[in-house]
Amino acid sequence: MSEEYKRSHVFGIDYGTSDFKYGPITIGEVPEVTENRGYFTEKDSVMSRVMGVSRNIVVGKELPLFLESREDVAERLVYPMRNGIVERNDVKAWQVTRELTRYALENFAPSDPDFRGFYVVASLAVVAPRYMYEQLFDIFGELNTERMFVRAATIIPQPLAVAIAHKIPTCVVVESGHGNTQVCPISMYPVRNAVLALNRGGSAANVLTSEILKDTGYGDLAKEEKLVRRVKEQIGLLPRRLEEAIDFARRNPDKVRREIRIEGTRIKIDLGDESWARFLIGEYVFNPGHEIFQSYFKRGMPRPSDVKIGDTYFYGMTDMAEAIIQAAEKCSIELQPHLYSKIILSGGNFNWNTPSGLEGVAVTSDEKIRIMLKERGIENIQATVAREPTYSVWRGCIVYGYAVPYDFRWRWERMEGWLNYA
Amino acid sequence: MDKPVSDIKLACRFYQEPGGWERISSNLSSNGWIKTDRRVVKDELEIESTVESIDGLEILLSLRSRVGFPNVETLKKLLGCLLTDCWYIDIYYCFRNINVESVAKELGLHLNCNEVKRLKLGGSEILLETYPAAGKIIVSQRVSLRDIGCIGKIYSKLLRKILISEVSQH
Repeated sequence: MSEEYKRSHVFGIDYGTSDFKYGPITIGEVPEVTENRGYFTEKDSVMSRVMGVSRNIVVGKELPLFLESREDVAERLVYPMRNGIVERNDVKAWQVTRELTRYALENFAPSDPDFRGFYVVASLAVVAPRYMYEQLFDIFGELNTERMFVRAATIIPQPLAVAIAHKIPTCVVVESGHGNTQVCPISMYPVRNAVLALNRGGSAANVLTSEILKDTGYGDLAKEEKLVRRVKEQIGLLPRRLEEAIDFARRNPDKVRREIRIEGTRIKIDLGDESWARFLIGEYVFNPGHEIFQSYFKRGMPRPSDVKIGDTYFYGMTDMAEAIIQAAEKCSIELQPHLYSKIILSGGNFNWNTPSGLEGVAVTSDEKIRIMLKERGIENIQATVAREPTYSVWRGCIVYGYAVPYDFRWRWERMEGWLNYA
Repeated sequence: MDKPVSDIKLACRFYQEPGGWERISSNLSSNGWIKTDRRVVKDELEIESTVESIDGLEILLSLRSRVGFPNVETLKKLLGCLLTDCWYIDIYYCFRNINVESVAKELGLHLNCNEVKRLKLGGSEILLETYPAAGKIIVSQRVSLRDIGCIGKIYSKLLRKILISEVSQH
């Protein structure tokens, strides 16, 4: 097998807690995305037999077609990851992970006699324990018994993938997805003992958006999680400074007010006089400890809590700037200025825009981080949002797979190289 | 289905001695491209350096156009320019948001799932990969200096048909 074959058969898989992104090097800039979940069918039921359902687990885009209108759906629908971690003994979760991996590879494995398997680069949360690496390597091997899907595989931490995609060897990567946020200083390799994890991501902002919808008379819509997510993406704003933004919104209600329509439905949403609340959504992602959110917590909105999963603590309420400072300060003093001068914000939770007319009031994520860090006395900050931040981990996987020579063997002590299955 | 989109990747191979982004970007700069960090821009086109192989013998570029699929003459000029430095270039055109079955019908091809077809067009071998589950078609081709003339034929006989056949459904 040659280097040339490897370069054209690199396959990236980003195991995100909520979204699973995958695809080969040849598909360009945007990977396929499906939800990281699986549905266990009731294969023995009469209806399943009549309908010809032969699979035990359904994953991917056709999963919604199999959902039954029954109360036990919650038991059958399995989300395998919590904060990027699959529990070691959670058999169902590992079955879903295996099925999703097979689904991804099957979708792109060409029916070509020259195909000898992909060079798979998988990416896991930086806090993923070693057993996850071992189980994933086992899954790749097991899948090969059906067909040669995986020629060789490697696994890299998500923040490292982001740094690789940007070719920045010394930086702090803040990767914030749907379920959690990882703050990871990198100096050629991730500085593992300085990693800080937050138990909140885009889903926390969804919860707040849902409360805002309830308060503005859209309580019936607030239960639909996917709709709430779309509303958040369309109306959410990230304020430069929350108090100033709310003051601006109250003085200029027309500039902040926006009516949105949900495509394919008759639903229209308009927050009316409460449009200032659009700024709360972005603020909550960066600083849930702001006193304005106390009223929501008092009314029963769940507060992001501190949790321990495996050996890792995930903090709930630490604000983004504080998390970056805490992570950087665990590194050597000599390194710290270099870390602050290259902060990469990656993941869908950093996708905030400044609509025209709101310049100076609403900001992008990099600007917000700069302001927050400056307020804490940090100088010479350079923060950048990854281009299309939702896909930067997958892109990093592709870049890594292309660059690492095909004959560079996997070494557990360094956690790098290819584990060969041929 | 969303509007079809095409991504183009260029895997540029240097002959025997390492090249890299510096060499490519300075060549393009001297031909009117404007360089900023890992990108060069000219008219509607933008090229980004994605990754270089460790031995320096290959570089992967990503080509984007603000007007959808790039103008063929502009693409030919770009390839001509790159091939003054490179031995050959593997071009990957990826079309996404595509109804693969209807495109295959339009092209008169009978394609099975994830099939790879080798076609001869304008004297050049083309690989056509179809991934119906992902709604993607990938067309790839190896180009050296003497193959640049084929680009126009491949566009009119294959790529344009993929684009038009899809657009007509919207």
